Amino acid sequence: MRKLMRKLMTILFLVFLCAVGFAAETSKKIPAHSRIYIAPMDGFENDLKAAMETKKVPLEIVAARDQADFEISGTAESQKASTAKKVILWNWHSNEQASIRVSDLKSGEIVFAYSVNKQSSAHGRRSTAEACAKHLKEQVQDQTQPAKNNK
Amino acid sequence: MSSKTMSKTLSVIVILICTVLSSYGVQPDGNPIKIPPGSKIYVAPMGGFENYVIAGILNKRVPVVLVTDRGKADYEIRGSAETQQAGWAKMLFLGSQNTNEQASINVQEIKTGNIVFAYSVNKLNSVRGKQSAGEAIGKHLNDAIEKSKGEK
Repeated sequence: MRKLMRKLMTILFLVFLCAVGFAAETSKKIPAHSRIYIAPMDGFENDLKAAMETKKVPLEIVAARDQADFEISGTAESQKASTAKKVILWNWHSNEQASIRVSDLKSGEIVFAYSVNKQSSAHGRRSTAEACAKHLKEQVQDQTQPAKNNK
Repeated sequence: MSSKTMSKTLSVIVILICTVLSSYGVQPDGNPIKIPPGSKIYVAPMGGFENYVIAGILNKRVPVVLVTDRGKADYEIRGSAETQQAGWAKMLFLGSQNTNEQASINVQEIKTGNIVFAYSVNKLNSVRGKQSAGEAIGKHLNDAIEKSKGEK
């Protein structure tokens, strides 16, 4: 009886450990130099590509979705300054907002998402695209950081 | 084996079973937790607003896994969002060009079709536009999951 109870206890303890491990949060990262495809976003994809090059995001942009490990999709909106804004606020700058998400094409999981809103954006879509690229770079670099420190 | 040892062992087993069940999102009395942490959630298209919801959920560190394929998901988020741009009167009298945002979402369990969570947000003079609405949804979804964890 004792042996049986011990066995039962051990099994339950192992199940408990597995459950705790399963419930723990696992943060997904984007490995540096991964191949990434940027889906069409009404022209914003071009701004994003340019921004990723400007910010030197360590990812390889590919033209075909089949060749990619990750995909960036999202939406961007641009609101030009209205006459009222120009006359009353004396402001010609547009309001910009964009939101992107990066999904792992193999697993289908969304590993990163970011949204940005810029009122009276000085450089229009370029500003929002660069904000997205900057934060994407941080996400990619998080994984490469310890390797740099070890050097 | 003495009766004391037996009762001690049994109590330990019961505690362990309760803990294991609760970590899988099932309460000891058999009632399922509304949205168990670690659930796979699919965000349905909402005219572009789905991207803000996803960003809000990840920004608020909601303990769920977001997937792009509905077939792999346990839950689905659906909803709608509206934006009202600032008019000339608002700019003239209030000096504000902030938009008014309103959004509403519901979380449906795909298997059963039950709606387990719903939330609507209305933000006047939203400084960050749709981003604010998306983050409010993320925050309240997080609270709902935390609350359901606490009810165990």
